[in-house]
Amino acid sequence: MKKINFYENARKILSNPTVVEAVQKATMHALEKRRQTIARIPDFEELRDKARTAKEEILRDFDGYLEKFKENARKNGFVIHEAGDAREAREIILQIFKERNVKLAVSSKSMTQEEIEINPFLEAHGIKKYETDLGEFIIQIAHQKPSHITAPAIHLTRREIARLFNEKLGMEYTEEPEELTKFARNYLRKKYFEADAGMSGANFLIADTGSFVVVENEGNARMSTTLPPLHVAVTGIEKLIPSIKDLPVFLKILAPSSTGQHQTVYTNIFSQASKDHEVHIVLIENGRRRMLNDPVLREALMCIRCGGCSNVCPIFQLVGGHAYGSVYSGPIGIIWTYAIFGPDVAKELPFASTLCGACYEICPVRINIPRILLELRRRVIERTGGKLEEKALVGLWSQLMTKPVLNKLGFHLASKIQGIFKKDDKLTHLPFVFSNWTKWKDIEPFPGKSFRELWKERKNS
Amino acid sequence: MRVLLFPTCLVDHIKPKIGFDTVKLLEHFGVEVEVPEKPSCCGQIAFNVGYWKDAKEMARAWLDVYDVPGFDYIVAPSGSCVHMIRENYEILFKDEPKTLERVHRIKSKLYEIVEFLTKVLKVKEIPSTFSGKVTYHASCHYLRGLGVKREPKEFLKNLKNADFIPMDLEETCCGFGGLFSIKFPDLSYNMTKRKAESIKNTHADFVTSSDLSCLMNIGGVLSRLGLKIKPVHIVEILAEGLEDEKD
Repeated sequence: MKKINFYENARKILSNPTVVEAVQKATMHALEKRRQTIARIPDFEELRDKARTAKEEILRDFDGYLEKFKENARKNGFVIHEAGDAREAREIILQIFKERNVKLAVSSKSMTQEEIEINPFLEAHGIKKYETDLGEFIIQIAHQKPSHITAPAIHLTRREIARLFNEKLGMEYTEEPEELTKFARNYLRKKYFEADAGMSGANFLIADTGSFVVVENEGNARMSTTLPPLHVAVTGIEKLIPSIKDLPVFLKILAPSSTGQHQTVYTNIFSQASKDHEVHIVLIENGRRRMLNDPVLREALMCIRCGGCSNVCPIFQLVGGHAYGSVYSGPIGIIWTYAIFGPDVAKELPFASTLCGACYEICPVRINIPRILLELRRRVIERTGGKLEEKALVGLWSQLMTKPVLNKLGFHLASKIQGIFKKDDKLTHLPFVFSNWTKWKDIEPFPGKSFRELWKERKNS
Repeated sequence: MRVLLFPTCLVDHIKPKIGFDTVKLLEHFGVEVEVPEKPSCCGQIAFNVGYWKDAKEMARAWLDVYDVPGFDYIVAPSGSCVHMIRENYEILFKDEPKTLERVHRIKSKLYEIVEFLTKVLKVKEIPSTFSGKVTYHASCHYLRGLGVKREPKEFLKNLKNADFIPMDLEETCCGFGGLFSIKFPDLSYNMTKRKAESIKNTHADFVTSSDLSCLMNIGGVLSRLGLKIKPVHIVEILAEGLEDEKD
């Protein structure tokens, strides 16, 4: 994967007001719904603590719980596969499909499947896979990537979707959401019955029962996973929770944090395979063990993929997920992208935050995202040395602040020469890297004397 | 009670008036204030963009200036700088037990000005007046970092003649983010513009905050957009109507 140019992507998106408006509207709407919903859950804060504790317990004995899950899952008749990376995962899935002569597959929404880029791979091997989640279906026919962890088509407006359905599927042009949904529903309905295999992700892997959970709103996951004779679930190993007793806690925090619903419409718990219905679970490692062994990054493994941090992030609200250039977008997505795709690909991403802390405040499992971003920034600067002008700026400031003589001289000089950059008593066109500021913003001129100097004068007078 | 004032690097070099207004507030409540001769910066500007070596240098120099005997408290007119010292110095010096000792010692004495007035001096109300419509921007590190939400707004509401009007995006970041604003100017500007619109919708004459950094950023855009709303630090508002003790 090539280096992700976050700022370049973001600037392109900023020049497209339709996307900016669509993302802003959708994220603000989700936040407002969340606010209303959690106001009616009196123990929401305790539920967050309980969920956090359960995830901490998983991290305390990760391998123990993973083994327990695998053992119990096998007892349920599930076939367990383990993939070290995305390539291995793709090969495993292809192998399963080939052995059973699968030509057509349907799938519910899964970010892990996006992570391993399974669709183009299967397509290249003559296997057609249909996305059945409405948002995923839309971006599949648009040949785009998801722009939000839980709402993949958040960047598209109703009009754009109407045009897409008209052009790609031959539907008569309408912007009515009900009509569009009905059309997609009818279109996909046939596929469930024709499909040789159904695929899904997993929201939770329950260690003590060996069962797994898929939550959804459209009923498409239920149909994808039960109508075809074969179900392949693709999931990251971090989705573990210790016990089925913990599940209600997670279900109670997931939907409110994500869409602002009290509960998702459907909660599917898979607990048994049968003779005429095979269930395979592909457990994917792909960088997660590296996170587990990293004292700072490991906290991010607790993420339950609610997308709340994206909704609340003022940068995400402006540019949406595509700016992040990765399947995982938004604040937590930065961390995941860095961990999975490596520091060279993701070296610009940790800086794509003002560290405002809104993500930490909203995170249902209280992941300290700003703290992790700070650490990643430190690592990037340590690896790359930092950009020259930025390094010079920081170095200069450090000198000015630690050397009193330089301080006096520097600011005295600045106040003397600033006149040439002044217009109407404001600095409006500064040189060097400061021009990045005055491109959009004015700044007050430096006063001739510092507070300390003035203080001393006043005391002595 | 003796307080050593940490004016912060921005106030010191860009808007000394905020320093004097902080002193005025403190002296009004009977506090004796001293100001160090040496300049100092908490180091946040370097720390937040990953230059921890430079951050350490500034933080160490800061500790040398402020970890001195003879003062009961250290007070600063900035939520962000206090947050840096209180929360991040421990990360920065995690491998230096001796420095950590100094950090712990100083942490318990360090307060942001409104925090100091309400928590330490137990001030309920500032006996002052301010005429004008004013709206409040909650700086991120003050609100979510230090957890101060209600107190500054209570002070503003209770000022005689002041007309406090909250804005809808009060708790949304203004887009400054230190060097973020220099690294990603177009993004920063668009965030600030959104904030400016929220401020404009209140029809306030003034926008105030605990942090000069946010106000410089917001003010820079208000000015560029030709809006006449004035950015003022919260101590400027609180101190304006107070009798000057020394006069």
